[in-house]
Amino acid sequence: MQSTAADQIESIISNRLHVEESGFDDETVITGEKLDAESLDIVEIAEAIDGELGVYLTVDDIEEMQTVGDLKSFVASELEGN
Amino acid sequence: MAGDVVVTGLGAVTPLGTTADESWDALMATESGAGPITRFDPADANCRSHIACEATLPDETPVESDRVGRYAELAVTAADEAIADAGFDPADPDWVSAQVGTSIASSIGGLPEVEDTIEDRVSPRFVVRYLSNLASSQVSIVFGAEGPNRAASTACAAGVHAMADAMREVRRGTADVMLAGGSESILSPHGIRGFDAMRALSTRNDQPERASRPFDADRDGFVIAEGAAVLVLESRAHAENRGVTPIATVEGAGRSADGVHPTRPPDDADGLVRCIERALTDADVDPDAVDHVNAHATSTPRGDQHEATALNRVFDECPPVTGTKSLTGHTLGASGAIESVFTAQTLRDGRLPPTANHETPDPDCDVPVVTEPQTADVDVALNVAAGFGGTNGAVVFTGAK
Repeated sequence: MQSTAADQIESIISNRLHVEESGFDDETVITGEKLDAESLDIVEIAEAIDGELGVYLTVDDIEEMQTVGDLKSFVASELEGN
Repeated sequence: MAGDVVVTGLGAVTPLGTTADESWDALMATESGAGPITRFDPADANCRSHIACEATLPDETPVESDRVGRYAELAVTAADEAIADAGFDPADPDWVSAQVGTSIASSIGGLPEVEDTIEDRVSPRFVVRYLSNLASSQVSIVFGAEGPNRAASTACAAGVHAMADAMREVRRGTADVMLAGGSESILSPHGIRGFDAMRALSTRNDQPERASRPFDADRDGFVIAEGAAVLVLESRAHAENRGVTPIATVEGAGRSADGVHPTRPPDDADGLVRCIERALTDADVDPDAVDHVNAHATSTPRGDQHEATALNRVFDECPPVTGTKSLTGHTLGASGAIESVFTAQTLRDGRLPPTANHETPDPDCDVPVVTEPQTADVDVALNVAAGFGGTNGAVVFTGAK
């Protein structure tokens, strides 16, 4: 389940930010040079995660995320919690 | 010039009442306009936020509801009250149509009318029910205001920008009288889902009256609302010739753009600081002289912090601040006009309105928040607004002189 969710998150990031999945990894900073996501991009990613995985991220949750790995961990822990 | 433009009439339809004074009395009694959405089923519409501040139109208004958009009907109703409050009758010789203009803002125009039409055959009235200049135009048509006709559409700063536009027309002499205001009816599934998706709305669905909490540490977004307000702005000489006592004076206005991002203002609040400083300069008012601020204060985490940062940069010691959206909710393009009415009433009555739900001060919003209604010597008051797109507006009022 966790790897499937992680794959879906990678796919969402790739689609929303128009970057190849090979262009980033768990250490990649979401707002950093490689992904260059700005605030509305991140909210779009959060909306796609809600739509596809049923996990809602608040503004506070989003602001705490630094890396792609942080995002995956948060979603995984929310899914486990359910 | 500063001091040449006065407010002589007020009108409003808000979630707190069907007139300006009903709204003011409810505000001063700390009555909230918030409740569950009744206009449609928000759960069926997949909204996360199920709460709003809905306004009620009087049983009779000067227009037929099926001929104009709801937002235009709200504006015409508020204008009707403001014109009467100013002691005008459009049939009187004082009412020189070509010298009376309108400046009525709307952030969005008739969005519910657009949504109603999507599945249907399109009515020939469709376009004139949703266009965002039609509140201003309907007011001009109903009351014979044939001077300058303006309709600011600068998101949530539009109501304040409409004041600024109207003030300038009167200063220039291109109008003797301007009907200045803002109107918004946004309570439709897409109207709410759009802001929902941005995470701009409060989801405190089980406690609607506690959901709008400007500058409070536990705020989680704004409560969406509808309403309209219109102020009669008039040259001081014109009001004197009519023998009318002004309610307040419009001293000056400022505006600016952040020029950074559509939704995320800069951390240093440079744009909003520039806007407020321009308004004070235009009004020839020293920052130390400001007695009260009716803040934009929407109750969004970032917006309130941004505004507090700006106020603390402009003022050495920030004057008392009220966030009236804690009780009215956020009426978007109408909010600057509704809050201009409240600012005029603050000056008229010497009473500061409260900010509801300010229970745990947020250290990142370190401004002196007025939490209880109180009497005060208020000579100078500032009304601030900011909107998506990074647009800012501020207007300075003083008491009647």
